[in-house]
Amino acid sequence: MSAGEIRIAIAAGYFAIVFGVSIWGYFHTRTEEDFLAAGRTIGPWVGGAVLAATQISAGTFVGTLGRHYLTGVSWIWIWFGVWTGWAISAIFVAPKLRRFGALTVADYVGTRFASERARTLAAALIIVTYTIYLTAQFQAIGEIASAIFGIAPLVAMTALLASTGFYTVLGGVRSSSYIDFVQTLIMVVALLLAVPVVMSHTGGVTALGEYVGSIEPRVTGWWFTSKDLLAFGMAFGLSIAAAPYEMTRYYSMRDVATVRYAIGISLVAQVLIGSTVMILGIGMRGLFPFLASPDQASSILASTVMSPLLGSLFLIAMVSAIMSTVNSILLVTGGAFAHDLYKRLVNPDASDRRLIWINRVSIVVLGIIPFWFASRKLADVQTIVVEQAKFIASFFFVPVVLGLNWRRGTKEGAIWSMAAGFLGCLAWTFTFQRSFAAHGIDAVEVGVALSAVTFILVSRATPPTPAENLRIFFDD
Amino acid sequence: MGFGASFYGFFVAAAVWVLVYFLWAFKAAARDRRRGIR
Repeated sequence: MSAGEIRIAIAAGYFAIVFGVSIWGYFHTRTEEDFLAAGRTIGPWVGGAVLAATQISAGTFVGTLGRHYLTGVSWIWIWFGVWTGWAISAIFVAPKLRRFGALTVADYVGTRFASERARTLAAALIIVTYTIYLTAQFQAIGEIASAIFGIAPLVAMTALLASTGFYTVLGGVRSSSYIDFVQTLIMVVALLLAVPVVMSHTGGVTALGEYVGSIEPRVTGWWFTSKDLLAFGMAFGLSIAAAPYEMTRYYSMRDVATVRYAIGISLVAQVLIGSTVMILGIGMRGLFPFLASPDQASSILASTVMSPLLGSLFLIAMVSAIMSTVNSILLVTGGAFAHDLYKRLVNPDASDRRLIWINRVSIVVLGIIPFWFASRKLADVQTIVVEQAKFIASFFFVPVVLGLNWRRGTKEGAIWSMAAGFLGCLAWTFTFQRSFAAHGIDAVEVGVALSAVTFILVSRATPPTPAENLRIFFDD
Repeated sequence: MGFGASFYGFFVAAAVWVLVYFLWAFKAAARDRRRGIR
């Protein structure tokens, strides 16, 4: 078989699985709960793969691998910031959210704070921020397709939306979860298989370390200071602790214990993915020390270093990373529009059947909007991924983590803290963030701090949330 | 100069992190079962 035929065969096999599962999901989706929460049937293994697949995106395969190519080992330590975020979520967020058992994250905001206005604001901010996040994923597929296959970015973006939109629209969270499981397996296997291939070219780990260390000693040591790593790690951790696209997936799992085990299984997948991406990034530095852009490292790895078979698997893994994240974002934004805006503000008596279709239509519409942003290339992929994460954390970390663990939080506190966090992050991004190297204070830390202070002060000055709403989230 | 503590230390720290997480998760599940919480 030629390299082209191998690529086509692997891609055909992958898409056959994806479309098969989505059609199965379509015939098992009867109610809105089926569409948005898979009927609460997801177990720990599939759940863990879902959480990992959702988090691992184009940013990991292109941006993070490129970051390791350029700066070496030390960037790997920011994963501990991410895992601190997961620990906060597992201890303080996931159990209460799963016991609540709603359908969207804005559901939590509306019920906990007894406020439709807070729910609407949360849904609107989620839609805006995740539309920007989608832009990064579309931009990444455009760049990968044009770099490797010479395909026009718009064609690649259309193909991504058509394929991902197809399975998201058909089977909702149910089919998406099983497809996420397959995608995580592909990502882990492709990365694990790529390591020995790259090592065989570099002469092993020790030889690679000695070689890249001789080019630039900081690559094998500490490129970033502990202060840098703490700032970046905190930004990622804060955003993952209250990430709507992860939290909505808790609702789909069987029970609280399943959610905790799923987070643990996703941590194992993240360790495997994070460490292999690091080794591959540094390995590519050893093989190609002078690439024009670090973001090219993963594409060149797949197209030049690996065999056609493994290279094709690696490309499918990259596509899987993008598709799984796009899928999760679309489910959250579609749900926010259909469940939290349409059902609450436009048609409270809408039937399950109608809501499923509103979900489907809004997924398609909200999937098309980022095309315009992606075609204008407002920033590089990794920057967009990091920026959206900062905004999500700035307006959502406090209402979620404090809101679930401090009874005195009120609807006014939640609304003003979301607004203050969002605007604080925005203002810092366009002003003092430019001198980050001097002060080390990131926009996300400003956003979260401002949001927390506002939440506490405004909540203390306003009437408490009604007891019937608090009883859902607090035992005593 | 080859890989050092920043490289090898990560694998040790990550393994410890995952281990501690699962010990906590099993303990939390046992506590919930005792209290009859699902």
